[in-house]
Amino acid sequence: MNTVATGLLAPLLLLPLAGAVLNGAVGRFLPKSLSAAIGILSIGAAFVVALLATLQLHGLPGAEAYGAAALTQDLAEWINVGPLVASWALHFDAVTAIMSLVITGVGLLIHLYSAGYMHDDEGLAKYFAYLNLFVAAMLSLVLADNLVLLFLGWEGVGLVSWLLIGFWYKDAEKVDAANKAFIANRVGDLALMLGVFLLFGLAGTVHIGGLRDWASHMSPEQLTAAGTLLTASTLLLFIGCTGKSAQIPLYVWLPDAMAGPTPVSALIHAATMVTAGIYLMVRLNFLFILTPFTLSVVAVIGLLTALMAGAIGLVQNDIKKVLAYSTISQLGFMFLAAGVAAPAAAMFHLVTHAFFKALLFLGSGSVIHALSGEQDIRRMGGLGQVLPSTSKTFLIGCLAIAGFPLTAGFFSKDEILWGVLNNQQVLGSPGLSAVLFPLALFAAFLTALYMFRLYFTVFAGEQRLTDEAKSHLHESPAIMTGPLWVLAILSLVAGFAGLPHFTGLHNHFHHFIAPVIAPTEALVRSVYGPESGAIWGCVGAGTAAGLSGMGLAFVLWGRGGETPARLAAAWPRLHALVLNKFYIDELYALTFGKALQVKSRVYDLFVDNLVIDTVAVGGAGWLSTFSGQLIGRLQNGNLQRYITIAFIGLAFVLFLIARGGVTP
Amino acid sequence: MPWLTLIVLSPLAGALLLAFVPSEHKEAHRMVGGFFALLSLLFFLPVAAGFDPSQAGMQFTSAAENVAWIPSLGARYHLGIDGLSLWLVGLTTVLGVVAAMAGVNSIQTASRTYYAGLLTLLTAVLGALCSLDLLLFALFWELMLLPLALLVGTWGDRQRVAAATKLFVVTLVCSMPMMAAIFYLWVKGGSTSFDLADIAATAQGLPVGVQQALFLAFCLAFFVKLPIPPLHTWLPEAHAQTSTAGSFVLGAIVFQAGTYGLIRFAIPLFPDAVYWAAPAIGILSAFAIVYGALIAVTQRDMKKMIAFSSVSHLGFITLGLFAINQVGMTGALVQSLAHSVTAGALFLLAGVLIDRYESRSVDDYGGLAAKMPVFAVLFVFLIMAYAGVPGLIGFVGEFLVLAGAAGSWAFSLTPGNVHFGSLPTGPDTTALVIAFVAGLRVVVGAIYLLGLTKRLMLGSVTGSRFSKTTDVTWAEAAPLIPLVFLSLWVGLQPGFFTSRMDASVKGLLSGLVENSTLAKETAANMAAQQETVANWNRDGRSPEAWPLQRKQAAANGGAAAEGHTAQPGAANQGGHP
Repeated sequence: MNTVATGLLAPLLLLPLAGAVLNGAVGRFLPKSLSAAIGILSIGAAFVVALLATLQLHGLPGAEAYGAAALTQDLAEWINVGPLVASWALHFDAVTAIMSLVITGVGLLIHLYSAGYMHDDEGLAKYFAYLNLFVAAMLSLVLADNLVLLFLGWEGVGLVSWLLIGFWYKDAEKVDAANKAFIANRVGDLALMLGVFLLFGLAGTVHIGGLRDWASHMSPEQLTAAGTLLTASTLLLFIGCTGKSAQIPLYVWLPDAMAGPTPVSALIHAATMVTAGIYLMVRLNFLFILTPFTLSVVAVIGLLTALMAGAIGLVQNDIKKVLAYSTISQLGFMFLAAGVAAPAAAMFHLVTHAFFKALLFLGSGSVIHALSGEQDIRRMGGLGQVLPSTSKTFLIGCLAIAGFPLTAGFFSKDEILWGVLNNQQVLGSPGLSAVLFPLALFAAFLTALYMFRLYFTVFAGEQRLTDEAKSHLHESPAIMTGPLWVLAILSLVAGFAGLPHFTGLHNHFHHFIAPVIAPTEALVRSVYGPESGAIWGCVGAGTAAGLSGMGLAFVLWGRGGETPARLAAAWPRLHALVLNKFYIDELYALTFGKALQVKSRVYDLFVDNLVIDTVAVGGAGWLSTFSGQLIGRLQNGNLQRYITIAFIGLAFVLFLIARGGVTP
Repeated sequence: MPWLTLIVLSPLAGALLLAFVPSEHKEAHRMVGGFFALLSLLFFLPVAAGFDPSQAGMQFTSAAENVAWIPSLGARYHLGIDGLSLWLVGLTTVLGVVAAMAGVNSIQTASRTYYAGLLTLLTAVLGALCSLDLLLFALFWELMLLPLALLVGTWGDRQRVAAATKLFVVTLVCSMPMMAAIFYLWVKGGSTSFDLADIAATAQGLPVGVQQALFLAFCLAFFVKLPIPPLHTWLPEAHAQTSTAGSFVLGAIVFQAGTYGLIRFAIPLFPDAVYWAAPAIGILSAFAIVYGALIAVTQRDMKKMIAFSSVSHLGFITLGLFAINQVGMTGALVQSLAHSVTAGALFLLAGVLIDRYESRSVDDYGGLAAKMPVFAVLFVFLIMAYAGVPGLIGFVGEFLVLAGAAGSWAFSLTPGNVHFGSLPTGPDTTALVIAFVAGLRVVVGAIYLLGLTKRLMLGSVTGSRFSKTTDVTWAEAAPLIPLVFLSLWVGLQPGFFTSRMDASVKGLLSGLVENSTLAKETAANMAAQQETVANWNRDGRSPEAWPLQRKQAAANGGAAAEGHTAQPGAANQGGHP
């Protein structure tokens, strides 16, 4: 492995951290603009460092070879107990480069936007401290060279997410949402931790490079011997991903997480934190390809999540909830890609999604800002003229996510669809792909449908605003629309970084991350020949799905009309089912929530209080009191009784000696 | 210098001095208490600085600290410290100072009793942690009880005396079998010596059945101190009834003696019994962890909640110790430190509110973060340290213990299973299940700790009783500051602490293998297994055997793959070329 030590990685991690500490410690004594400046500048500096590191990485020789060029920096020892060694050691390769650029780049835009959005909030310094802390935690996640440090970042982002969802903590509902997010994430974290233990038990290391060596040098006998446990470990890792990346069955926290400030939703719950699961799948792709069963599970769960969340997103009326379900759905797409051994596609979609979903969230924030906090799309409408920048950029975001030809989403989504069609054999059951591909197309269709429902409902048609919202109606200031336009441009052009191979043009993106995903690529290439003409069909089908979704959305919501309401009335049960999110929350509350309470009560009152304390401990106490009284009664001063008892005892001892039972 | 003697006895000197201070001079009591607790901490510093991490055996064993004590019995005054006890001693001295600070705010009446009790207790605990003579250990061990009962029973709610009595009786009764066991070993060894080395030689030579009985007698005494269910019921009541300072002493200092007793006596003395009992104790610990955590979920009394949570948290100590591997045992020691720091801090935090508003019920609070921002920061920080967020102290112990447990072969229900990290078959299934069950605390703990945070700190301020609330005072915050500092230090640089444990833990483990028949068999088995792996690795290193290349070859020629099923779960993809 061609690794070069560098001094750039520590500042990348520590700059945001320094910003967080500074704002956290003295922020409340500083003027607001200075707090904001500290937050923005520290992320801006981190972005520059990330760029420099990427350039240095790009210039390294040998980036093509299996084993990947990388920059490394060892900071300090951390955990070092016998075989378990996890240091403060950073590792920067192509995937890290992309993630860091997204985290700091999109992060910078969102910090800028936040300075406008949160301007009137009294907790501005605290807000920027949290936001910087989040960036630091997320960077440590992607920079970690071992799984324990990765876990630190993994839990760290969960913690900051808790802080930020519950940022307005005086509202108990928001606190509940924050707690729910933390707890659901912890379920995943537990699975991830167990997966790491299993890997550690198998490979004897938690170092990612070491695991990669171990996986690629395994003999067939070892692989067979480790088979079940290896599959179990990758499954556990994936369950961990379902927590952080909001997939079935742990997705329930993300919609509620919209209680946080909208820029937080854009940064944490759309562009970065929730993609940690995808990052982990790509980072450990060398393990996942050894376990086809897990890959099938990942693909199926990803697709099911994409479909389910898309369906729910279609009927939600809160603008942020629609986007939240859309995020869950798009993450499902990425997992689908990772599951069909197309990590490059997953990674590419991660990046483009970060751009257009951050754009859409910030756009929705701009709308909410303009309408004095209104989030219900039934009380919006006709905002196109009033909010020109917001509506235009929002439209661009919608086009990109729907996969309109030549936008960013078009390229990344088609690459996923092609992966599903092409890599079917990797899944272990070729029949699966026959099901997956049409369903994936349908999910793409749904995406276009719900996104344009949102667009038309919010920006087209007649204004249905409340009087209060009308009174302050205004376009957002430049510090907010500026980031929107930057993201809009990125949503339009980012796709050209990853032009498909079959066009004969250079796929920079793919080329760049190839070393990291080499194990998977080698496997895929070994099974399939060069890309064939089928790919044109695939692109055509994907484009058609997106365009027909847009078209249908225009027919249903673009021209007013009563069709959607009539459809809902025609299938009231179905509508209620989807509207209530398939009652999954209620189901969880009834099963896990209730069970926990009941168990806790039973243990407390019955087992602990009654059985152990009252019966066992109290019983022992009573027994000793009772026997004490009994013995006390014997000692009544009656000499005759003493002598009688002494004789009985002596006789008993003699009897034992006579039997040879006791040798004195 | 006899540093250990100075560490152990300087608190007692303070306690004696207090006898001459008139009872109404509250300030003087605090000064004396704080000074002598601090003195003990200062005497620890040269020990920490002069400690040699590479040495497995006892250090600071000066001749002056190995003298005849009761010559007729062969009992000696013999002190020593090694990697197992170093940080337990160090932390106890720190916690002594913290407890003295906590008394300033929490103890307003009979302060002489508090500081005298505290100092006596410190001597007892420190003495137990340093004794290398079992009779001396037993003396210190029993000496703990009186001041402890005093500290719990003197301040607090109405039922405090009943709670103190229960504590006293239960722990006393449960330590009796250990006393009997110590005397049994003394007699067996020729009634000449209570010295740890002599007793150990006697104990390790005993038949397995006898070892098992004696081991259980020792465990009973230590488990009740930690405590491990079902021996825990004295704890929640004692915490609920006693004062803040009493809770701190009880929750942060005393249980360390239990950890120490297990790792110094119960485990090394009876190696065969340890391997025999390890699976059962592993299962019991996992149960304890989940049990305590589950009960904590529905507690409305915040001190009871922390107490039950402690039961859960302390299960990690036995879990790690009986994993019988370096990761687990080191983790258990770190967990012992972590629990002291974080649970102690939580009792202090709860105490700040309870002392102000005289209610332990979480329902009487709400929205305090708005009124007490600094307190809220401390609260959330320490709750997160307690909940095991990485980078803070709680994570290190929990993670190491769970990693050790997951990889433990001592938990295996199939004897002769292989050792951690070296086997092609990987970790043992029983151990994994135990680790999973114990790991549930990660989730359940988050549920009640976040619930507690929400009920006390967040939401809107309820009622008018908090309208005049001011932020935390210096007297309230001072004891928390060292704990915050330790949370960060151990969380970020655990290597500083664990590197000084390594040699002793390794020494303990190799001693176990040497003295245990079962472990010897397993070690032989292990060597054979490792040879197999080595062979596999040698053969497997040729690139043709790599799974990837084999796949490739299969695709290209189709000939190379027959006969092998390289991919786990590959059976269902047999159809493709």
